[in-house]
Amino acid sequence: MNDFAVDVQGLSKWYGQLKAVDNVSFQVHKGSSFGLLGLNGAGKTTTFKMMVSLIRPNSGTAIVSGYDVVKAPMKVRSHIGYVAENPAFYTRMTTQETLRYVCRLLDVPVNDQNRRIDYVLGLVGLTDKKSALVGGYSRGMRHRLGLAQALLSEPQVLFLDEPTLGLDPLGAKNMRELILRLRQEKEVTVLMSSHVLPEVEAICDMVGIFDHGRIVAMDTIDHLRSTASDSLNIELVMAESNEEVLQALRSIPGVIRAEALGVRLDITASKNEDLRPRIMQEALANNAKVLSFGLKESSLEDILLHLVKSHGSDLPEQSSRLNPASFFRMTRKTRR
Amino acid sequence: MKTVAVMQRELQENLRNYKTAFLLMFIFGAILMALYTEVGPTANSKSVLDPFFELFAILCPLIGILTAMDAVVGEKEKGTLELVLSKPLPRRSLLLGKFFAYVLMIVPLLAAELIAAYFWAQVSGISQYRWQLPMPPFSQWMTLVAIVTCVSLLFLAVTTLISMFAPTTATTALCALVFMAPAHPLGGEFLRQVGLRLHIDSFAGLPIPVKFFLSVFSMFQKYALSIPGDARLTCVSLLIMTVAVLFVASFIFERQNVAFKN
Repeated sequence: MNDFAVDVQGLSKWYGQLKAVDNVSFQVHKGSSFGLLGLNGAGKTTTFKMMVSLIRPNSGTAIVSGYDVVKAPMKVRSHIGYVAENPAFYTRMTTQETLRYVCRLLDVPVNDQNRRIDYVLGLVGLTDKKSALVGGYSRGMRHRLGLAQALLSEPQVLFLDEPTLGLDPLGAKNMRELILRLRQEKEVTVLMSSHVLPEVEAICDMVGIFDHGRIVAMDTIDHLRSTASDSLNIELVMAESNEEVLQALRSIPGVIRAEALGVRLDITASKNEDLRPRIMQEALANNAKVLSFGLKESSLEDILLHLVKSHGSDLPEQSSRLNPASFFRMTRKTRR
Repeated sequence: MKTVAVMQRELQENLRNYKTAFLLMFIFGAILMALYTEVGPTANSKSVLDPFFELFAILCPLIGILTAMDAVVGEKEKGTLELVLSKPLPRRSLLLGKFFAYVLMIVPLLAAELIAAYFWAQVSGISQYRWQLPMPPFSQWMTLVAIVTCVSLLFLAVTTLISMFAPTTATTALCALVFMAPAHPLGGEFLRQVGLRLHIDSFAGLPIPVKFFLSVFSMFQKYALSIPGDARLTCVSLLIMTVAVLFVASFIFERQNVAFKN
């Protein structure tokens, strides 16, 4: 057993002519959290499903909690928790019946089932809904039940596919806090895929950015911020707008872009030399009344878009012709 | 144990969504039709058993199809397949659990209602005053119950297999219905034509392996009703075929690259 909770090596998955995941490799340390980011169809969910052994990779391996997802899928599933993008349940079963069914599938001893069910329901705040039919649940409650069922196995690794998708701000905040609490209290390794970038920033230590089925960048968010772009974003706020300042800044060699948004100037400058003193000098020389001046941090969204753009963001074209094989589509997958 | 867990959940679900209740009513309606309309025996019929068999030879595959048409594809449509397959549940346990649940739904209902129909036909005097025919011996009636039940089980297994591939529940039902045609009307004509070409005018002298394959045809099943040995062979053949279809389904499902809803 090594120090990694997840060790993915050269994972690939084809759907017909379409390479959904292309030779993906990464490791996640025990107790840490890893975010999978990317645009729709980038290969995040397919990678996720291969890691939880729901789909079989065409090549490569993934060791999760010390077990190979291809050779020992049952062992992997016993040691992980998985929350799908849209958690679905049997609508005519109550919360308790649903969780008891999951306990039976997980081989939880009968005398331990009630304790585990009460514990996870308390954790996700559904104790008072124990006897309620799942069919009457809101989306937020279904997500919480999704997390509850994933925690029944007392997992070492938790896979969360878009855990706050479609939740209202309060529901999303609660879910985020719950995941952070699990990380701190239970030292669970968390892997999550999400489009909600602030959520990834709040939860994950490291991120992997997916594009066209490949990981195009993988690092801590801070490091990605400092290295992903070859330019600096500078913000200058003045007391009143001044067109001469804008023209003067644009004429500085190394300033790539300068845009005025009212009294605020957004300046993109080359990283090769620190142009901040020169920019300040020019602004003051043109009688600018500077209220604030400083570097603007790239958001994770900027980094993602920058990295995806630099690797070409257009999705592969697919034929729309009706294929007889598409009638029984079970071995294929269409990109949305 | 996991197969039992799946079976119990499936039974619970089918009781709560009234599938079992509608199945009960469907069989009850069919029996009422056979007892009180021209679909069943009439004064011109040669026996009570034949019209009953002809009706149930069509209805029992339908019962199997309607019961199992959402076996796997229904879980995909609801999104619950992802939930159960992300747990350490062998796929064959999922299939078998569902199949056994369907068996527990169908067999008692079908047997109880057909046996009740037998006694009702005697007690109410329908056979005497409406059909003017004697009721067959109870053992022969039970032969009919056994054969139609086995036909239902075979179609349960076939529909379960189809539901692993079909994109929707409705498509599963339509595909499974296609299999009914060879078993019943077209199959009868096919056997008649083959018999004419090969100068075979009776099933009686055919070797056992041939009878094994012929047992899927309702024409052969009808013949077997009055021959206890062939009736047993028909039931055994149908059960073996059911097990074979289930085995194939499990084998394929374990290796299938399932497309999930999400």
